Amino acid sequence: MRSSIRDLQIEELIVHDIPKKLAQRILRQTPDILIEQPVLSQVASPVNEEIINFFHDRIAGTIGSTTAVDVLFNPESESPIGRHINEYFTGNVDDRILITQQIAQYLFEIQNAQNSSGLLLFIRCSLRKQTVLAILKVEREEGVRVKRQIVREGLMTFDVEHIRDLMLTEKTRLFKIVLFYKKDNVIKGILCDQQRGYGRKDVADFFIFDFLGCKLTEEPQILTKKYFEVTQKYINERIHSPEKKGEMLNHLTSELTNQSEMINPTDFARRALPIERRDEYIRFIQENGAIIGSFTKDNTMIDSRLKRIQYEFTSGIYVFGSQEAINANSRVTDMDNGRMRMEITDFLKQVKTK
Amino acid sequence: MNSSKLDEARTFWLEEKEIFLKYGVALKSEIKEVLKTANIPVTLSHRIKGDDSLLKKMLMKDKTYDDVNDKVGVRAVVHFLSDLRSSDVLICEAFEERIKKRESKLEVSDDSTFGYLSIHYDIANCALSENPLICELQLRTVCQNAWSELAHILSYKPGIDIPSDIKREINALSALMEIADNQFQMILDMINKLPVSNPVRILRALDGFFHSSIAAWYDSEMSHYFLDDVASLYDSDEDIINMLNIFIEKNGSDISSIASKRPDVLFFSQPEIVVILERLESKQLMLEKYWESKYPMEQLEAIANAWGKSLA
Repeated sequence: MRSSIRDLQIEELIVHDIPKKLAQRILRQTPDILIEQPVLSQVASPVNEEIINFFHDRIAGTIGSTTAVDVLFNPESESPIGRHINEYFTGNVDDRILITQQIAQYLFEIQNAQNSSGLLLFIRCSLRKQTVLAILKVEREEGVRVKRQIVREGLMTFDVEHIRDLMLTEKTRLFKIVLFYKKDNVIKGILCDQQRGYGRKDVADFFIFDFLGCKLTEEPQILTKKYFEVTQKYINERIHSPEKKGEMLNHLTSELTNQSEMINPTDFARRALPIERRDEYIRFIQENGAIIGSFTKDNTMIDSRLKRIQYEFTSGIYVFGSQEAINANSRVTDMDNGRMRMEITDFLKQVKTK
Repeated sequence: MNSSKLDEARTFWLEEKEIFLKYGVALKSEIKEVLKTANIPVTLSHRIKGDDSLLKKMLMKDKTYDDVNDKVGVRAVVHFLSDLRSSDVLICEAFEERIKKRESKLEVSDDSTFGYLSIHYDIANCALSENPLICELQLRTVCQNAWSELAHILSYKPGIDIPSDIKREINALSALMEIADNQFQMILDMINKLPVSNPVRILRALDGFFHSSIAAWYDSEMSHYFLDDVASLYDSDEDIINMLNIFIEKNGSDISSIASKRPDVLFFSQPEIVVILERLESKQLMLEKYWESKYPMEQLEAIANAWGKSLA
């Protein structure tokens, strides 16, 4: 799906405006306060080629990015969105408007005062004769209203030129986007949310778990283990200098043990590898079944392996120890003919047979 | 020819004009595709015969309605004589069964005659039909076209009978144009033999695709600026031209389609877009580093997004 986004044709845009909920405290103090309701489009917004290109590029720039993740509807979720999306893919024009209104209404109902107000955009596209649906949640600062427009038969919609302007200005914050498509009769999704990591149940996960009722297609601990193993394989198969092998292994273990909640292999390549190695590394891990997009770090399955480093020599000699101890007490130098010198400077504790 | 034949022809023509026009447009696209396979830059145009013009031709040349084979015409103008020869071979191969007549004025004229030198073909819409639609294709070089256009304007001044000495002057100019054609070809051959830098080699390789699929003009200074150190984007053992040709073969139609829809993305109107997209697909991180030293990153992001990719 990601590789074919170039062929995405935008066909219809529906926009709904979701206001921010008032805090319980305010409602208690001012029971007569007027509670703002969602403003729902009754027809699709008119679009022109410039707008089509704008949204095409926005979708390509997010769904095609390495920060996007694959999601599926979670059958255990209470969210009705999976059902609505299924209906959307089979519905006619009027059904589609109604379905998007129901989705917008549901978002409003489950939001609380912590969630920002924003626009919910439904962009129906075709991609190689297949229908796909992009849903964007665009946050914006309080007080910035979008222009309403009355079109045929007095029906209300939103001025898309104005929305485009809003999305380009600093008044609009980052947006969340999910692209749904049907494959083998199952609805799948690709989700990109620049505000968050994926996998932990926190406020930022509201969109993916509570609202959409989705789950990640692959478990973070599996992805982390695969990434770790494939990168080690790359180090041992493609990097010939023993000195460089050690350096990159250090980078890898640091990446896996630092405070960051996410791993982005492409960013890792940018930071840890020399320029001539970066693309080769990305291709290698992709060919060996690891993902090159972002994923939530979960070291559960590799924790013990991260604690120790092992050097295995062709002569049958092994040197192993904690990364910290090896870095502090040994030195690796490249020699001719692919050989290396490893110097260990330490106090001998004991020597024994094994 | 009696007037009832002309009235009948007028009726036929009014009924069929639209079909002929559609065939002309379709043939123009076919010719474009055929020449694109060899990256031959070409300017194509088509015209449908005017109602009066058709009837006048029938009257003056005593032809029947079906005898008039240039009811619709396509003109293909190429740059050099070598392009003309290659195009002729390609057209003959591609439309072998459909070419009902081919006439090269150069082949049929003797060595002391100068004048009109295009190649004409009568191409049927269907090889097997007994009553096909016929479109006349004229294939010319830029020089041949220039002479032909101007000679036509000068020779057919309404109400003036051009004396033969002036007609001779006009024909003499065609000899000059033939010499110019030969000279341009010779210069092109000489230039092609000169040792060239990487940017020039690449631009030359992209020239045909760019002109036939994207635009007639580009900013050469901008191209050279981007390509000046292009070798650093490739491994030393990589054949850059071959890689670009393979990329064009696979993605050429996508590139030209996006170029036509996205005038807002500046680089799609430059030939180096092929290098940028090829590297974006195969060595994105290397390209990013190279790009940093040339242009703002937002420009590369815009190209990537229009191409359906993300840099993030």
